[in-house]
Amino acid sequence: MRAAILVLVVAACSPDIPSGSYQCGPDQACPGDQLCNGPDNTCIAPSLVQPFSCLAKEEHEPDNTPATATAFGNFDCVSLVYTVNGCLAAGDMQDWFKLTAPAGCAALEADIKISYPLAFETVGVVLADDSGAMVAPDAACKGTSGGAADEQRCIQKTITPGQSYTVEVVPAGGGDCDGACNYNRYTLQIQLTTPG
Amino acid sequence: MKLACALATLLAAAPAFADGDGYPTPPVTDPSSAPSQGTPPVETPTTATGEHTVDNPGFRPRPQRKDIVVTVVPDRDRNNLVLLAGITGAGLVLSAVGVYYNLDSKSAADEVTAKHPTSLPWTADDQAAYDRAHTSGIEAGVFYGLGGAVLVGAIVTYIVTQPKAETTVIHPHYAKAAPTVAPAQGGAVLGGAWRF
Repeated sequence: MRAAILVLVVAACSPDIPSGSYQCGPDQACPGDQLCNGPDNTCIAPSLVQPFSCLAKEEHEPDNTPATATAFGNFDCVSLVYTVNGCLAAGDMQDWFKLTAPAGCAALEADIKISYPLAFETVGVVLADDSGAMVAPDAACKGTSGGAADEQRCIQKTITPGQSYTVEVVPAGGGDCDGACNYNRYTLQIQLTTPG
Repeated sequence: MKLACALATLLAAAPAFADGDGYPTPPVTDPSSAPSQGTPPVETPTTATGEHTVDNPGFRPRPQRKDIVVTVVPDRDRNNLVLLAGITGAGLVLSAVGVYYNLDSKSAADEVTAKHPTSLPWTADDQAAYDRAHTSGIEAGVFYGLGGAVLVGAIVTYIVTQPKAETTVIHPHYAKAAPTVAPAQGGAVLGGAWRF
């Protein structure tokens, strides 16, 4: 019996990783002979892999300039969290969004967070004025949230009530598989709060 | 050891001298029966003529004039034992190294083996564990092979270096006693002479 147990312990030293067990890591990293599935960035058997593509509901083109930015809705002084799903296809160098800070608020802070899969090119976000001039760059988020297979970047910036702003989403240049996966999808969240 | 083997062989041949006079007695044929040589004698009642008969009078030990063969296998010398121990030890050490790599491989494999979707990204650490499971598995196989080959070599060496058995044949000569009587002052001297 002990010998049988020893044989079982000693044997089976190859990892057993069924298709779909892992999310893709940076640069579409996957175990063994599995590949990264484009639609859901999951590591699966090569025969099942589909290429990455931006869904129609994720595209907001034309949105490549501040003038053609996609508008968020109206914000209150303390707003709900507005969420937009977007996508940067290969070669798409920017997505612009715009918002207008409500007037009549004593003070306002814009809390912006962007989440994107680790599997493809990293994504950055910039808060800018209505002309596109940078007001605040992104930084690491203070708290961790979201899925383990996602990366987040955040902006917390006091803004002026009644003023228009833009938010630019750009490829950050990392994790693009040496150009082979220079695309990504993202989730952009914006909330206005009272600073402090 | 030689002495022990010789004694054992001599004891086995001892019935050949059980006649008392040192000479084997030829079998006596009983006309009323055909007894087998191996059947022990059974005494029967005294007959009317007063003769005491034996039911199996033909039972006599068969004269054994066989040669006494003494086979002696010498002990292995110290160098041979050291050689065998060395080879066996080397084989066990190599096998133990194989077990080590096998367990290391299994440990690494267990780190990344997934029974169900993990929702975790495939990281560089996972890839390192995956690679370690693979390389350690190969190393385990190599050392198992080497260890097994050396152990087989130890067995072959054990067989090949087996000391050759020494066989001694003893041709027994049965003792023939010849009593001698010689007059002596005030009597006689009774003696005997034996020839072997």
